[in-house]
Amino acid sequence: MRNFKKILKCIIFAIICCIIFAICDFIFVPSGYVRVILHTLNYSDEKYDCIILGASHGRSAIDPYKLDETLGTNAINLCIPSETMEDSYYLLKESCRNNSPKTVILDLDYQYWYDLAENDFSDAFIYYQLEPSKVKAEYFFHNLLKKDVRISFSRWSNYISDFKGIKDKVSIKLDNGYNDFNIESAVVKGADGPYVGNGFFYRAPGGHGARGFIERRTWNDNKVDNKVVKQFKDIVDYCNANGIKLICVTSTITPAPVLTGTSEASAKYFEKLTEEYGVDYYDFNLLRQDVMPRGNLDFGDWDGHMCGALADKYSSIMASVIKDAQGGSVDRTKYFYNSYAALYEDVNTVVYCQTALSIIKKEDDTYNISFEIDGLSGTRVVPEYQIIVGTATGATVLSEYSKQTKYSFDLPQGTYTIRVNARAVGSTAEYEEYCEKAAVLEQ
Amino acid sequence: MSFVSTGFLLFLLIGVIVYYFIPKKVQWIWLLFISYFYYATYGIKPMAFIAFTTISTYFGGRLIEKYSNDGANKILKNKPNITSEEKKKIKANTKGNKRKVVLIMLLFNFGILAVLKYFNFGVENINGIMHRLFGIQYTIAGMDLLLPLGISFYTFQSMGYIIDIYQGKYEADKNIFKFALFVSFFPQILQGPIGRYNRLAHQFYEKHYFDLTKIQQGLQLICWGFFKKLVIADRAGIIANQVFDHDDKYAGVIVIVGVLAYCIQLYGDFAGGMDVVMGTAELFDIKIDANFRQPFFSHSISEFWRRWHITLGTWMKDYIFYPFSLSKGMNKFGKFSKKKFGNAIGRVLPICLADLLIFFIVGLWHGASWKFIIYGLYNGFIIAFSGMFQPVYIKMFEITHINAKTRTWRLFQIFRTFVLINIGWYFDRGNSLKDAVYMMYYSVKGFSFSALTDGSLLKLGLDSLQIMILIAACVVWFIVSVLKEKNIEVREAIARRILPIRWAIYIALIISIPLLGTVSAKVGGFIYAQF
Repeated sequence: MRNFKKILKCIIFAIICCIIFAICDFIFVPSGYVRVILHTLNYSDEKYDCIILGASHGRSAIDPYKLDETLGTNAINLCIPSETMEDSYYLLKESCRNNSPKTVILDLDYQYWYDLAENDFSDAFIYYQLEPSKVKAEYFFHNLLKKDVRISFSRWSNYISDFKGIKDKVSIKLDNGYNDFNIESAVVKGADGPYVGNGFFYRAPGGHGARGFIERRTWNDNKVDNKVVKQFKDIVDYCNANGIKLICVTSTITPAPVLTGTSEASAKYFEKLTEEYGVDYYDFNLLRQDVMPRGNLDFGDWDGHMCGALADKYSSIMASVIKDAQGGSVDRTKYFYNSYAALYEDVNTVVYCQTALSIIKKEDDTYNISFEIDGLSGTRVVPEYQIIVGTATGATVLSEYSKQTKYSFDLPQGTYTIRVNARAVGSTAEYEEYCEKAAVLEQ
Repeated sequence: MSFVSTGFLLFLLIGVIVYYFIPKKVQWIWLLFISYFYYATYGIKPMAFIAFTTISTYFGGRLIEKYSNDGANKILKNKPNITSEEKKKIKANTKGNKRKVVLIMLLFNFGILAVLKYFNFGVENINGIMHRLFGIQYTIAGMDLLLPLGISFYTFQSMGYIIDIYQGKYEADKNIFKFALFVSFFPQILQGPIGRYNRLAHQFYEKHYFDLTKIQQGLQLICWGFFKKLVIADRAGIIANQVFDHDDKYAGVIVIVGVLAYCIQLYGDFAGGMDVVMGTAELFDIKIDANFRQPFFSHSISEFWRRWHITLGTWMKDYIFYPFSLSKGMNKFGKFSKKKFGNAIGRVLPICLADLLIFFIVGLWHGASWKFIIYGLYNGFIIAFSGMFQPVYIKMFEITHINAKTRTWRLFQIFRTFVLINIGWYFDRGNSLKDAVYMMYYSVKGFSFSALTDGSLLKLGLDSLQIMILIAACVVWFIVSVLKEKNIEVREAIARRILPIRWAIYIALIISIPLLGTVSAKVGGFIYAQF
């Protein structure tokens, strides 16, 4: 009897701890949109037969309704920002619980193939969104056992710094819309546009020029994380075992970063890999400009998130390519450049210019400003740059358009804006790209 | 499988449930199975090394015992006829054989440890000497060697056993599998403590009945360990890493803050890890040796080493210090010193030498790098110096009329020891010996307290809230340490409180781990697990 009492006390203690954890989860964790999408996936009246998987590029680029128009499918976009190959695998399995997909479109984004941070809370993000099922249990045993115990059981600890947001989070969760899985009740970050449906967001256009630096990442086949390759193989095997047609794509990203060469190098790797596994692969960065004219402004950022208008065009083109493939063969020359060299040649503008200022105070109390311009343009283009110094009262052209890339000049104390305009030699445009830097020169 | 991983929690849960449900006779087999399973999660290859140490030590122990028994039987059998000369001869023969076995065992096992851990360090130094002193450009290539996790711990533990058998302290284990459990018991295999056979092994083979109180106490200790590790050590580590990894960026008081942060990190990490280890063992009703006893309340460096990493200290004392300082050579040296330097110095000089040897090994044990050797020797020199000048101190007290028993003097001693210990951390944590010296120099150069108030502290990776959490958590830990120092057992004190207070404390401790703990990419890695 005494032992029973002791055990009962322990059980009550454990229950209290669980309740406290649940309360913390309720008040700290924001309401995301993924639970809404997964609810749609599992409980929609019409079953989905085409599943789109990938990360944020895929979410903003692939409009499932456009695919449906051409392919006659019922598609859903399950591309989620930071979705890893592992997540894609389990989302595919989750899709198959209540649907019978015939086609899977997997968007391959090279950023998720190496240098992956481990033990981060985002690792378990998708896991938390899955409803209790065999798939979720499998996810847990395959992926979370090596992770920090707090990642697996107390995701709320990742959000505790946001004390001010507790009130909003609680009121959203107490709202009927939240329980009815309305997208309006979800906090959507980074979509930058309205929700259209079936996982697709229509992204609004981004700004010009002042979007910061392009993160130069050097692709190296040897750096590829073997775990990701294994997970990719798992997806291939799963699709083969379940009679699902797997199509791999790399969605078009902003023209400027494509010119850094990383897309070309990674696409070569993906081509080799998909060929090895007998999977169709289409690199849509190679889409001909005449098939889908595009510029930096058709994307929200340098990273490559497509805006809604271009996404619709792109999705229709993708659907046509897939339809052609279903019909027997794709005439690649109809849609794609035959090489990246041809793509680079066809870019006839400057697509990127950026710089960082180096400011040194001189003995005479003036300041020396020096910088070097980093530009990207087509291979046939010779870029030229114009330097404008702006003050509160106006702007002065410090250097007319020239091919010079390094600049150094002195300015007295004050607050300035240094603007670099860039264009191709021979162009009559005022500028094709620009960047602006503030220079606060004070004691 | 890190202690803070989800897998470990599940592993522990299954391990404990099965342990108390299976017949008591086979509990140790289950412990052996899960210990090897646990070790295998770090890779299959390292298992070959632990298996080698286990097998060689087991048979070595048996052989030593056989020689002892054979010698004793021989004497016993021929007792009426045997002369004392013959008796001596048999004994000498037996001792010689036993010694051979011990030497082979030590050579093999420490040899493996030395090659795996120190080969590349040795090569690096030989290359350096050849290049600098003799101008030889030829370089000996290093090797890509596998360093099995916990090798230092299980090797020391096994060699302690073999020396004890040699010294006849206890009988050798008859069952190789039971002995394998002593070597590989999973909670302590990665970061100690270095267990002693006579205190640990018999517990494995006893019957263990489910006792909820012990389970509760084990869980409390685990939570307390996590608190030290995740809330305190990992948070302090952010500052320490920032300062030590960018040593050219910081000077003066900021470097000192970095060293103090490292002190907190190391203590929290190691002591926290030990609490998890002890708590885990308690879940299986196994009591293992404590490795810490409030080390920062020490009045001297030698006392500090009796309270910090206790099992390593006692191992060194029992198996190196005494055998070395009581050896014939040191005996002769002692006599020589007494003649040469007088009785006072002559008596302590061999002990000083033994201290230096011990701390040279302790330094080397910490890692294959000169900075660790200097770290060890630094501690050794202070202890040797203190021993040597003990008579001078006594005289000074008499002259200055200082009462060494007053509270103020004791507090001064604690502070002095704390400062000396922290100077040692420069070598322990510095990225190299050069960096450590450089940081020491810059701690003094341009020293000013203004950096504490001008916002520089907030640029070390923690914002003001984080720093406050760290300080508050350290205060809690300090209070617990003071209570323990006063022999108040905190767990028992809490257990005596009424249920709501008791539960509130437990829940606060549990919640504090996810609420206040830091999660980083490197989380879960215990510093001492790399030895």
